[in-house]
Amino acid sequence: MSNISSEQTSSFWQKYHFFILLIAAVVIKQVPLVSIPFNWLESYFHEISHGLAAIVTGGSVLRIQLFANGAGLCTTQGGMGFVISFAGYAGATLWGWGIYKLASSHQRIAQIFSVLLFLLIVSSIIFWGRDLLTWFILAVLAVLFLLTIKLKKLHYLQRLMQLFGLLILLNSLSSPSYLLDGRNLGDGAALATMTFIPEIVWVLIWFSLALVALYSLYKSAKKHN
Amino acid sequence: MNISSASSQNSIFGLTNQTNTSKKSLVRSVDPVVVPKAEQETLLNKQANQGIVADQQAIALFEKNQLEANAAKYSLNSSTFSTTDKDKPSPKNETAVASYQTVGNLAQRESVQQLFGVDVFA
Repeated sequence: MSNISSEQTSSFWQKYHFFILLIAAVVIKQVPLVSIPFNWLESYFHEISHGLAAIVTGGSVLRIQLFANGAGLCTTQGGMGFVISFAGYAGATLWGWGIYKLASSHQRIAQIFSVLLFLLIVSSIIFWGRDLLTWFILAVLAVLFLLTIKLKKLHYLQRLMQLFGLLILLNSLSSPSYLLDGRNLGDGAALATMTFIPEIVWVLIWFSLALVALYSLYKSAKKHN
Repeated sequence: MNISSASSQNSIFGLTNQTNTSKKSLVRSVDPVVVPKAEQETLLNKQANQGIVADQQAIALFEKNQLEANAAKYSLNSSTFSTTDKDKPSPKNETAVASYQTVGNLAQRESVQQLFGVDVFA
């Protein structure tokens, strides 16, 4: 009897794990204190995307700053301004999608990827963090990934990584809307200045990208069932 | 500053030389005439008095010139700007130099910005 119920639970989880994790992510985002490190997570992947875009286009990263309220700054030198500006929100979406996808593919891959992300955060502390607050925030994120690596059961690591991926994706879905504050500041305004395409268009592009990524994850989760 | 003080010294020397020559000419005019000893003494005293008078005049002139020189020296020391003003380019030239340097600085600034230019992404 108990075997039947556990099988039912397992099949329910397998069938609806994407939605369960999505609801969990939405709930976590609403909880005041608990949501803070996850906001930092999205902020970090946003800024690191700017930085990596700068490196890829021939520039360099001078500094990454993270703030307690989830804001961030990336100071770069050289590189292609358009690509670097666009990479912030688009990159965060890609990180969220990638983390979920890789964590879903295999438990061992999820573990290796977790180690790589931990190393990336540690490198960011060493090379790009320049102030105490940024070091503290990055240290919290590093501990977060270290805890996932230390988990005995890789199954939990996989689920946690999927949750992180969805949290980043949800943040990158909502955060471009913060640009529409009429202040003409941020990546959208920078792209609007460069291309003469209004800021709202860029916000819609980023929103659409995050939506497509979320839909892609839903489709792949459905396929696995 | 040094040049003007040297010229003032030269001018002092010139004045003393003049007094010396006038003294010599007085002595020469006396030499060919044969005069008695008593008269000679009075004449010598007179000459000496005349020489002293000439010296006093020279001293007076010397002192006057020295005062003038000191006054000139003091004015040079106290108002350094007035002397440096002579070396200063005219306001027109200054404007030209300033505008020339501004153009130079703009180019320099641009090259520095290219070298150190950073972008901040939020």
